[in-house]
Amino acid sequence: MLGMSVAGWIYLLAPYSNSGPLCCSTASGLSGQGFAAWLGALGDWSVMVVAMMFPLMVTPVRFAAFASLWGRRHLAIGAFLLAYLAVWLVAGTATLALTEGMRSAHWLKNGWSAGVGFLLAAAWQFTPIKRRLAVSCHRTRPLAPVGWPADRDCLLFGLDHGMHCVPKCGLLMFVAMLSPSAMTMMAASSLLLYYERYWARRRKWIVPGFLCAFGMVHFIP
Amino acid sequence: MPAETTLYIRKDASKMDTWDPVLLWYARAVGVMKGLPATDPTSWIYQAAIHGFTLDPNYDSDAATFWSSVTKGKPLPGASEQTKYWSQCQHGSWFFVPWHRMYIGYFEGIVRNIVVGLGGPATWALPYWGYEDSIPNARKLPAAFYQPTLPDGTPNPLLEPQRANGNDGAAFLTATEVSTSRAFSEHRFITPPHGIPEGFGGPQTGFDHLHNTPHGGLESQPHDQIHEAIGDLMGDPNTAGYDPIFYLHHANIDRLWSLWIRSNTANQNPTQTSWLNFAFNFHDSTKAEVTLTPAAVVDSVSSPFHYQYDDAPPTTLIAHSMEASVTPPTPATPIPAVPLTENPLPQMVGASSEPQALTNDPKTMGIRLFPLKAPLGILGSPESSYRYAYVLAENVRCQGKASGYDVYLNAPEGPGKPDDKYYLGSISTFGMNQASVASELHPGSGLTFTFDATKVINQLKAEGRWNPELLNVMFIIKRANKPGTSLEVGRVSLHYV
Repeated sequence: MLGMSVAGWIYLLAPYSNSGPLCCSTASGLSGQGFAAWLGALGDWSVMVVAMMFPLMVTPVRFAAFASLWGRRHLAIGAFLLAYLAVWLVAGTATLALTEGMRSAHWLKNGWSAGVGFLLAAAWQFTPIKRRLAVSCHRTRPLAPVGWPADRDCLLFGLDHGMHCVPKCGLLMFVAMLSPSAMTMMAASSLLLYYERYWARRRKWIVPGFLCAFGMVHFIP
Repeated sequence: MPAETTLYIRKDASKMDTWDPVLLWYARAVGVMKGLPATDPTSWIYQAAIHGFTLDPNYDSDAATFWSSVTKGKPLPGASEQTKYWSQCQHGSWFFVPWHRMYIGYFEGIVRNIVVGLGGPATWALPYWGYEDSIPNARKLPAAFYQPTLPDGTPNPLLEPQRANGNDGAAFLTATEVSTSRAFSEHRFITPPHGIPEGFGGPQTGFDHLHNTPHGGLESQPHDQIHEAIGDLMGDPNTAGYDPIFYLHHANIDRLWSLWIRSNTANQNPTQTSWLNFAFNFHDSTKAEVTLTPAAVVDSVSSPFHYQYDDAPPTTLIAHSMEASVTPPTPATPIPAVPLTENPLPQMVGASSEPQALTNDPKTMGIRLFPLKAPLGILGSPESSYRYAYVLAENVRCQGKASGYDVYLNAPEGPGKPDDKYYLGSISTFGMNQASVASELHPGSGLTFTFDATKVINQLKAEGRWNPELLNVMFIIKRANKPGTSLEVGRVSLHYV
């Protein structure tokens, strides 16, 4: 999982194009570039999900493996990740469409949209829904041992995590995409997400504090 | 303030007279604490709320009802103070034992301060309830806790009238509930993330208040079992601290931690700085805000609390500095076959297919076993590819104050309880109700229990009762459930290491 994440980051941060990953190309946008460009953007979006989210999925993936028969643990991991990524693909399609809409309305000409977005993301941290979603990342479920019920249960397990992960982390990804420095913001947001999952405890102000700082940066002329 | 050189001795309440001065002063101090305002860190409400507190009926309706009635019309600490000091208990975590040592250590100091203020002895120390002892009184609630009045005829502050068991003076704890063998058979402190083996002290976590992480062996049995057996307030982590017996129960759990360390040189506390240096917030007896880390309390004598238990080897503060260990540990018993430094990957070899609701009648869940690629033989023997077997009862969820269950493996059907040789361990519902509902604190997955099945499976093989295709896990209720309660086991599974 961590290896795939690192590979994803290398791909995303490599200077393989002038504008970075297609899903973050705030300068040109996807309008008028055809279906292939959208597919490419969705592909880049998937890589971004792998890079950003897979380190957060270590625990449920490990659960899927250990709670499955030894011989089918890789199948269980695959089914979990397939369903998890499927949810993110649906979210990615909606996010790209929304971003394009905002670009068409000239809302992305400066970084103010991202600035406001980060401030909203900071406020979102204090909501009960956000806290509930964060706890849901630790959810497990009984997995049938063999056959299609086992595949079904692993798929449902992945869907469940995706459905909680998208609203919890997707807002931050979306906001980062609005920034003129999208990749930098993506990387910084990821570090915050990792901190929140694995290290944060009662210092609840650290993540919203950094998000506020990220937001304020965008208002500096 | 007591002199720093005083070594306080915690004694067994089961071996005391009903109104031994230690218990009588405790009762009087509790009475004083119950009269203090909830905003006072030394008040009974404040101290109880450190362990757990909620006014949210959607999270824990019983606890919310209780706390609403107890705090009705009373000013409470502000939200930020509540966040910092209340609902701090660490369960399903490697902080379980050190956090509770800190909690009852500061509690003991507060009580002692009040005892001294009332004219009592400055050497007062919190007693413990040694329920695992073989003496007849051990499995009864210490008598001071169910007397209606103190010797002077005033109401007894130690009496909590709604306890489900114990207030009638009968011996109510079962042999399995007080058993320490499950905990003491573990020689690793830390429970691996997958829960196999169970470990002694719990899984490596951050600050973890009532999550659904696996419990360590000591927490599972006897800790959780005693909470559930007493019931009512003690049966719920969000109210347990309000029952005065809580602190004697946890003094015993604290004593068992010390005993575990002394019992085998292989038994060691974590050495990671993330465990040693994790700071927790409390108030001391002067109401000053303090922080403390596990590193400061791993040794009770050199800790800020300066105490030891009456069954500990003799020691003095002079002989006992921060650098010195208490006493040389007893010679090590044979180390388990799996080296302690190794963290072997468990292999699941079978599981049940459907969840099973448990009732007052015995219920059996079948684990369908799948063919192994390596020989099974007698676990741990040279001809076997596996050394240990573990049965997991996963995603166990309940509604209401349900009873726990004793768990047996391939036990013969028939009236009465099966023979102990088929006994795996017990499921406790302490904290399960909260873990069964999705909330801001719980994902709602219920609790998962790990049982070392190695001995029972080898027993079954020796008796010719081993079926390589099916393993039956039998659940027998400990105390009959009342209407409105239910419990469901999500899955049972078998794992080899």
